[in-house]
Amino acid sequence: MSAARIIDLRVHGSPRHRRFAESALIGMALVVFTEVMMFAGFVSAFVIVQSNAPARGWPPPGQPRLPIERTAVNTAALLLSGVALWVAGRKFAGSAPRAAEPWMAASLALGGFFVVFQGAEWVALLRQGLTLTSSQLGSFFYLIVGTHALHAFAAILALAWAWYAMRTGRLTRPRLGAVQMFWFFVVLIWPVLYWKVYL
Amino acid sequence: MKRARWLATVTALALGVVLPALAQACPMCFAGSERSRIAIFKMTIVMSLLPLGMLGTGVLWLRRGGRSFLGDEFEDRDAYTPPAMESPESDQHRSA
Repeated sequence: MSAARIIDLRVHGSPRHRRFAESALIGMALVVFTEVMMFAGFVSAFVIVQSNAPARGWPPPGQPRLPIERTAVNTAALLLSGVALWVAGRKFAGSAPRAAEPWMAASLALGGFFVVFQGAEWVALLRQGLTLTSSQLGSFFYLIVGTHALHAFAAILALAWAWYAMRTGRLTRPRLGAVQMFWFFVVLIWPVLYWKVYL
Repeated sequence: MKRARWLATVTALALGVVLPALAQACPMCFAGSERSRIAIFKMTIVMSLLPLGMLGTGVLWLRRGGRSFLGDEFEDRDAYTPPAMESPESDQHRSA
């Protein structure tokens, strides 16, 4: 693919139509809207159940304390991943789109680290007796954090696809924008979940 | 007759205002501890304002984007000048 063609695709997306907004971005915005409301519902239910617990009754007796410190490190990795993707987007829109590739790879690696670290934490918590049916904390923890991990996994697949498309010169700005929007949603909703579920 | 109807309406309205407060139909709003009630109140606010906020942001984005998108929509039309009409005198010369 010629450089001119790459730049044409990168800047204009589909050259056929002049559009107010790309379908990929509108579709992803609608997905993110519904996902935000789903997480808001989960967190709302969790907060109300937690408020019904007796004083000093949270976490419930016999249940382990959630690993706040280690998850803080993981949170920092996820936030850095978001920053790396933001930089990648800026580079891709600039005069040297190839400079975006290492930033994209860094974002992908940090996102992968987050999911793997989260999985290791889960294994440790399961060994300590926190399961889906052990208590209300366990039920909500695996529901909320598990749903987020599923989204993170899906977003990592999207990032990997975008990185590959970038390397082969087939990535357009609207498509990168849609992937960015989904990853930013995964990144930005996590601190809220960490604050409400862990702290 | 008119006065009786008026009294009946006022009584019905008064009962409509007073009775739901006595019934306390929402078990989540009136039962449980103070902490629980505050949590429900806060989450009700969050769940009400969050979608409105997101929709509002979307509408603002559409307004702002729409203005710049449609800004040059009629440029071609406004720049167009129709060709000059020929006068009736020139038609008479042509026929002669």
